[in-house]
Amino acid sequence: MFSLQKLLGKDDKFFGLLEGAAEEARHSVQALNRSLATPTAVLTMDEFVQARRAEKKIAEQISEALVETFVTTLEREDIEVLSETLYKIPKTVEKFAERFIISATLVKGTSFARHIKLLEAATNQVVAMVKELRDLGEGRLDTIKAMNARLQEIEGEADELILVVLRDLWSGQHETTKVIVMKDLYELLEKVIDRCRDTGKAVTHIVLKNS
Amino acid sequence: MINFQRILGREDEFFTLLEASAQEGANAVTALKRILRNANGTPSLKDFAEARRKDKELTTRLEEMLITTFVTPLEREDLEALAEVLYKIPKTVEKFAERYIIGAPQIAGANFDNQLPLIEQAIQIVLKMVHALREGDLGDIKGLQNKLQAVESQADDVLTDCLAKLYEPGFPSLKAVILKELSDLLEKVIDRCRDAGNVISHVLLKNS
Repeated sequence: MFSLQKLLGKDDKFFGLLEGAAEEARHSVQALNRSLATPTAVLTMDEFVQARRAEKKIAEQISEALVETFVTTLEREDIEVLSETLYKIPKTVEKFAERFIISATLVKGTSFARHIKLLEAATNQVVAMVKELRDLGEGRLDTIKAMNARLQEIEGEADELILVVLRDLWSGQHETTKVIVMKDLYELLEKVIDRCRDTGKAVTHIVLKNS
Repeated sequence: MINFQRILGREDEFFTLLEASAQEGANAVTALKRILRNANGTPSLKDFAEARRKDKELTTRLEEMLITTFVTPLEREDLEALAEVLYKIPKTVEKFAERYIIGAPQIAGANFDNQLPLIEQAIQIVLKMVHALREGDLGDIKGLQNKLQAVESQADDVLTDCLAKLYEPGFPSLKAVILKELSDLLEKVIDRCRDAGNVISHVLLKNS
């Protein structure tokens, strides 16, 4: 049977999928944080691979829904950009986990406490911002701008943190292989926060367009 | 009251913002020259942060205008792409400066004399190209783009020479790691200039 509902709006579905993608991104970061907060735990890839796959599946569902749907409240390219930036969060987390596992002996004893705090704050902010999309319209711009400003602040703190760790790594007190490995890992964690910032930017762009 | 000027064209404002953004890139390069030429002084990040911050403001303003303006002088995605690549110039220069200051104690005696003049040339060409965009002068842009490509290619050669020295047996490993990072970042500044040149050429060709 010809379904007009199918052809026209499926907005609730899009919002649900985007929120699901944001939640998956947060889950992967939560899994990482649990492992990093327990230095004795042996990191395995399973949880990260699953989170990335779940995110990929949602991204595919969004692409399919975009093809099948005739009218969307949000512009389709905006939905695509947002879905893409959300997917990159667990993907970068997975990349970090892979590198962390192969360099376990070198990174033993390293504290990632400051990174964990920032990662948590950034992904919480991403989930909250994506949820705001359901209430598009007048008056939402200031709210989303304030949320985005907070996300930018977190990203700024992450930039400062990388300089702090570089100062230590380049102090001459560490073996050079460790310097290379740790720098790679720290930069990947910073990239996760950059991906969250990109998501915040995409959400802000949508709200601005629809305000 | 509906403001038609706001909804329709704000051509001049777009070009002015792009020119100002390119100028912030040039200001960042001037600050870079100052700290590299005065290696014994106490370097400060103030000028770099200022250039990047101003450029960020300009880019944000331009992005907001793109959403709220109905008719734009160039295609929206081209303007967006150009604003984005122009912002990345002072951002990359600032990133270099931050790391240069941190790594300075380990890289005593190193200089970047071969890369700096190329960066200065590249940013000056970008400035001229952004100005030429307002005039829509295709001939001029083409010539400048060729020059920019030549500078970028020279920068690649300079980086290879620099890496060859770092990879020599016996070169202190930590110093090599830091110098490689810094040289890569300087090359990236020129790459960003090349990217800006590519976007401008693309825009001009499309509108010629």
